[in-house]
Amino acid sequence: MTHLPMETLVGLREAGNEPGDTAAREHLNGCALCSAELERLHQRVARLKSLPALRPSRDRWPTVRERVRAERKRHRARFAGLAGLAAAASVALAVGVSTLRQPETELTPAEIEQAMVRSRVLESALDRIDPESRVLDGRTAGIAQELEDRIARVDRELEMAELMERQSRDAQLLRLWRERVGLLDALVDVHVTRASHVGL
Amino acid sequence: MRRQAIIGALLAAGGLSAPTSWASAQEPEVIHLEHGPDRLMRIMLDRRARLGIKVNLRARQTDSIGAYVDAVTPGGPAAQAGIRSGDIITRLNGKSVLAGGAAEDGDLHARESLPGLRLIELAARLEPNDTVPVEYRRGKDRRTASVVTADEPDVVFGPGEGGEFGFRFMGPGRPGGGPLPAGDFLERFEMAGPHWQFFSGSPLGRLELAPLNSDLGRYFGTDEGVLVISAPKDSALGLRGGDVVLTVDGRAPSSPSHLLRILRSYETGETFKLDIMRNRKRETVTARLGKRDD
Repeated sequence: MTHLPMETLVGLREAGNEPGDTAAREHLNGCALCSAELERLHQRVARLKSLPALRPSRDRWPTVRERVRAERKRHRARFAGLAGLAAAASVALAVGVSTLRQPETELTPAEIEQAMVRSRVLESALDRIDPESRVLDGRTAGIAQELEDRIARVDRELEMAELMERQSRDAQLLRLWRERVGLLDALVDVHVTRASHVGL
Repeated sequence: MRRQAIIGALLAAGGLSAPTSWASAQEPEVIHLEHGPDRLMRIMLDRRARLGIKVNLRARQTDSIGAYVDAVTPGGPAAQAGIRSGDIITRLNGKSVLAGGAAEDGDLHARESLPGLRLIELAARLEPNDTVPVEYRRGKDRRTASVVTADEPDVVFGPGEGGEFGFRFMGPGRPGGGPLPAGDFLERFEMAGPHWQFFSGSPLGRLELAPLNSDLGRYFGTDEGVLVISAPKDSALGLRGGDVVLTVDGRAPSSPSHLLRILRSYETGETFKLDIMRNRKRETVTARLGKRDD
């Protein structure tokens, strides 16, 4: 009998979507040796996870800054060749474009404020629901936690976006605040729907 | 059903424990801030712990009081400690957000909120699972909360929106984002908007759970842990209705969602020990994270 190689065993730890997984799983069900090896693999991973976390030093910024500068330089160089041609066109377009862009720059901060207000309203709604003190089923808890994690990432991105240059900052902030509102809306829906289905 | 009805009646009798209060903090240490976008970006990137708030960074009238909270992450450290959007944080870990702030860039400070920037600087010194006092104002009320910090999401660098260089934060379903969640089932959700397709799975499966407190605890022989209201007969975790989960491999869950966070640190197939109260007696059961129904 040919036993399963380590690569296949590792693959079987994930959801079985790969071609050939079915045959491998059938072999696994009938082979005590491979089953034991897979079990050892699980436990090895579990033991590794219980090791204390080692964190990288707090000095990633110099590398990141160099990468950002290099990218910006490359970006500028790419467009430098087009600058002469663009200059003539820009003179002709300047008046029109500035007229067109004016309402956008005025509107965006108001739209951001609108999204922030909506975000606060939804946070208050969640506060009133108080999910932590209620009965929770496993499925709802899973969805709610995924939405919360996504909001945490959006919040981090919002802070970073505040440091961007003004011309791109407002558009980014608006997009992120709207994403936050959408996720909060979904989170409130999840808890409200769950509350109406739990018979307690 | 009868068991659920009894537990339901007990739940109705349950209340919430009072929030922790803190003694007044010591005098603030004066720290001189070095400002500038590079400096701030470095602070944010090197940060390891999160408070779970989005602090305002634009100058505003409330800056004379402290740092204004624009948003609070649901389920995050600040939310669990009772902090809300619109609160104004005055001190973090005993240090005032108004102290220090030696300006090096006048133009920047004319637009930016110094208390907001200082709060970010102070928070950057924290590690995950630190317990820190946060003093804040809600209207005229002065309050103090005890916040337990959490891990920051990992940051990845690469093409941002529109193909330009930028940053995104890792997570399932996002480009470059982490592994799929383990659990009894896996569901795929799609929402309107960019990157809003995501997967959800829960090791808790079809269990129904409730937090335990001292009022409820009298009936179950403990006032800590998470109460199992109902469990399917084939529950992979080996739990039954009326059980109270006290610890998972030594980690004590404070709520159903905390229990889920603990279980999500395991992968499908891994085993762990659950300390439970069953019929008012302490037992240990070995559980294994079940396979998904996919």
